Amino acid sequence: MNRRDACRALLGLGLWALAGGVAAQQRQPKRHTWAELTAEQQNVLSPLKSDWENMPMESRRKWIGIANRYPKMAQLEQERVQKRMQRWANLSPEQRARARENYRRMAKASAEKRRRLRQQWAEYQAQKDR
Amino acid sequence: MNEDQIGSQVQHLLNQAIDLPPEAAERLRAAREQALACQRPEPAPALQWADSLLGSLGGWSGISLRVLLPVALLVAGLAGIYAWQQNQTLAEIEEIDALLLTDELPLDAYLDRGFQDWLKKRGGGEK
Repeated sequence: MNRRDACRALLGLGLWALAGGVAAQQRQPKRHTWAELTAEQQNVLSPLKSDWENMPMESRRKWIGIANRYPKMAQLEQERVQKRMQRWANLSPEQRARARENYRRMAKASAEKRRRLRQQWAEYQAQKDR
Repeated sequence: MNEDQIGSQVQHLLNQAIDLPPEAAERLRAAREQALACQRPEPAPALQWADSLLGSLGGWSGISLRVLLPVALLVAGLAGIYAWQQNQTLAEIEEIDALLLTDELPLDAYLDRGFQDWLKKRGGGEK
């Protein structure tokens, strides 16, 4: 094999690999429609059912991930998820981003501070209602 | 005999050979053409498109493997990093959302700007 053939073969191989990579990026093997979810996932995510088909693909994947974590959660946590799910999904992306940002910041605080937050939240609400 | 002397001797001999009769020169030229033709077979039809593509870009001499392969690898590498990063971001969002949905504090505690400001003010006052 001379150098020209070698070049051609390598170039072909490179382009083929590149095309494969791009195709893999754009291909969506699963559309994650409501019907494709397992019965268990559907059960956990039932508050989102009516909005499901309008949700972007990343959100669906995220909710499927949360549904998969659900069985490992404590009962109290499961109840909270059920109660908050729909509200959370209906918030604007900006609101969700802000809440995540606040959570990240507050989660960094010490355990002592985190414990006091609950009390402070109650205090704040009482003050606001006054 | 040193290198320079050998060089000048070779030069002398080669210069003598330049004065070839025209028939001999013609035969040499024909032989050379023939040899070159044997050395370069027709490109394989399957990858002829690659040749024509490169032809329009300046030919094989214009773009060598030394340039193309690293560029292709770089592009593939960047695409890989982008996909990985995207995946990491989504995983992080999933993690935080799961924590927010199960947190002791209600969602409003993280959404309410007033509470965040109030906390900051109090935090500042306590210091």
